[in-house]
Amino acid sequence: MKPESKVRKGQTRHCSNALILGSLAVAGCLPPSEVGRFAKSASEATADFPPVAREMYASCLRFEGFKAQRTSGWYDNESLRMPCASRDTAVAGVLAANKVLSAYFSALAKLADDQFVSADREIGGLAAIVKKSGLNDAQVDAVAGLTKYLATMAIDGYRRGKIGDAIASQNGNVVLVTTGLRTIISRDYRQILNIESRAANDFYRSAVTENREREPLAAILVLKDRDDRVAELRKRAEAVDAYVRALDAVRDGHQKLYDHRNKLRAKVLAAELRDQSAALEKIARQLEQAF
Amino acid sequence: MPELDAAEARKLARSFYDLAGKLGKFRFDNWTQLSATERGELESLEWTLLTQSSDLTTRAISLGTADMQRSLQDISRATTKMTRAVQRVDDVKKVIRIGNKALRLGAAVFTGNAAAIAAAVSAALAASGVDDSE
Repeated sequence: MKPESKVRKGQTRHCSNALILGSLAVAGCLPPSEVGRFAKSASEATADFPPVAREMYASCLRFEGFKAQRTSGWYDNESLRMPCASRDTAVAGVLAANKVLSAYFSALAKLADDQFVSADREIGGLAAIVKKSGLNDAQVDAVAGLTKYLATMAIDGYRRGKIGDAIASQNGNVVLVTTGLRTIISRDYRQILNIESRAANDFYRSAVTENREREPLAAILVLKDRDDRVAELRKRAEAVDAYVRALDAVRDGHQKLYDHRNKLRAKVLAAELRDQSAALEKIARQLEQAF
Repeated sequence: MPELDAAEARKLARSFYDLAGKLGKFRFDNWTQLSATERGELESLEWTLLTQSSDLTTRAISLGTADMQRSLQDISRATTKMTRAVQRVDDVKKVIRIGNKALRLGAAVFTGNAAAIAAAVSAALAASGVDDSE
């Protein structure tokens, strides 16, 4: 059975680049641009989750396949899907939780995007109109400049308040959900991989032990197949570690935004988050290889 | 029998998994001493235990996501609020665009150009209808 589709390589790479948190600098309260950078990369990291989650269902199908071959000697797709139906439902719940988290970071990124709050294009249109009213160039530039400043300040003040509200009110929930997803990946998915590994080993060892004397050459090929399966499982286990670290970085990053929401100096925040950016770059490479 | 929580389900899943491993080891260590029937019975029991372990792990996942539901609802509400805020910023920009069109109308009236006035009135009407209420 083929593994689930690979994680989008561009996304994981983009995830690590966008999460270069070492360049953070705050003036006043949380700077929207830094919040936006973190939120964008957190959104992309959570977007990498579905292939990981779907693997939990795929592993059930593989386990049932090994069992069917040993117990009844035959199986088809339908006979594998039935015993895995509850796993499918459970995975759907995990995917739904991740989707909520991803949407939150996506909305936060949009709100915190400095390009989004810029009204320069609209103000530029205003300047062209004002010119026709008889003001000279210097006066038009002054009007446009003042209007740009006032509009940007008004919009910026409004959105900073909304960003602060979201981070302050939702930090507890974000920490709970990322921790919950982390537990599911680090404990339950790992247990799922262990079960599949034991099933594979028992399957191959039983087959080889029963038939080695009659077909010694076939035993060699079967063991090669076993080795390939074990290698795939090991790769998936490594990817579990990588994704757990990604979830930790998302949780810890949001916590740091919460902790520093009223602080004036960003260098402290930047220094604290620098290590996470290096970890996330490494994670992105591992995820690309595994999925 | 009381319902399991996620932690209990995980613990049981691990126990069944470990037991399956011990049975498997016994079966292979004593392969030649066991009859084919005995080996078959042991293997069948191993698969049953592994299946139980798998089912309990699935239960732990479902219980884990159930525990998150309240937080997920709160996060969804916060996301809606942020999306509304984004929409309001878009509305503000729309007001600025309408302001542009109103100025164009003023400039057109100032020039006395009928065609320009008509075009400016149409544009201003098309840009109206913004809801800037809180």
